[in-house]
Amino acid sequence: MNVRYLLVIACSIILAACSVTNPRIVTRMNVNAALTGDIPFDPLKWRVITSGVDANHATMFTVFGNDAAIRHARSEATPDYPAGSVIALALWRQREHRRWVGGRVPAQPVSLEFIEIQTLANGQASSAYRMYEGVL
Amino acid sequence: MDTNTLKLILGNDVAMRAIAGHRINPWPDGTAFAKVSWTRQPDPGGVIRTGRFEQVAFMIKNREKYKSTAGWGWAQWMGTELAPLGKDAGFAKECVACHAPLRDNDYVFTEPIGTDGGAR
Repeated sequence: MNVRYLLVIACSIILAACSVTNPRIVTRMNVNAALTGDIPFDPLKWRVITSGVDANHATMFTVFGNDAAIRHARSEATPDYPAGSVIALALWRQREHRRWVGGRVPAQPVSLEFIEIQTLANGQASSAYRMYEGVL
Repeated sequence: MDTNTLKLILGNDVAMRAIAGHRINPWPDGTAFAKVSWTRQPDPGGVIRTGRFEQVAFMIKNREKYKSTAGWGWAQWMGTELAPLGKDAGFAKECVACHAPLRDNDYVFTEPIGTDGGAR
C-alpha cells in the first residue's frame, strides 16, 4: 500500500513538473501579427521589397514580392512588373518590443493587399487587386 | 547596438523551416539571421521610409564551430563601405554580452511572426 502511494505521489510530481513552464525560458512566436486568414498567398515566405512606419497612425508596413516580383524589383530593368509577379503590402499595428527597450514590432494586422500581374488571352498585361482588412 | 533606425530581421531557409516547425529554442544549426538597419527617412506624408543603409549584422548558428561564443557566429558590417566591426575575433564577446539576457531564449531577441506561441 505504501509503495503504491509513493508511486502516485511520484507520478503527480512528474505531471506537475511537465505542466508548469518556467516563464523565463518561454520563447514565443509573435502570434498576434500572424497572417492566418483565408488568403491566397503567404507573403511571410517571400522576400522583402521595402518597409516603413506610419508613426501618426502607429502602424508599420512591409512590401513583399514573390520570386518573379523580387527578380524584377532588384533588376530595375523596366517600370512594369512581368506577368507572374505578385506583390503584397502587409500593414500592422505597432507595439513595443517586449525584449528590446524602445523598439517597436508588428502587432495585429490591419490590412493585407495583393497585386497580381497576369497576362490576358490577347497578350495584354493585367493586374488583379485584392484587399483583406481587419484581423486576418 | 543601433537605435533610431528602421530594421528588418531576415531569416534563411533553415530559420524559416524552424519557425514553421516551432523549433526556435534552441534554433537548429544552420540557422542564419540578418539584421539590416537603415536611417529613418520621413516622406512628405509623414510616413517614415528606409533612408541610408546603416549596417548589417548576422547571427549564424553552429553549436560546435561557435562553441566559445554561445553557439552563434557573429558578424557586423558598417555603412555602405561595409567596414567590418572589430579588429579581431574578440569583438564577438561584445555581441554575446549584449545578447546574454536572452540566454534562455538561445540569445535571440526576435520573436518571429508565427502561428503558435508554444515554447519548443
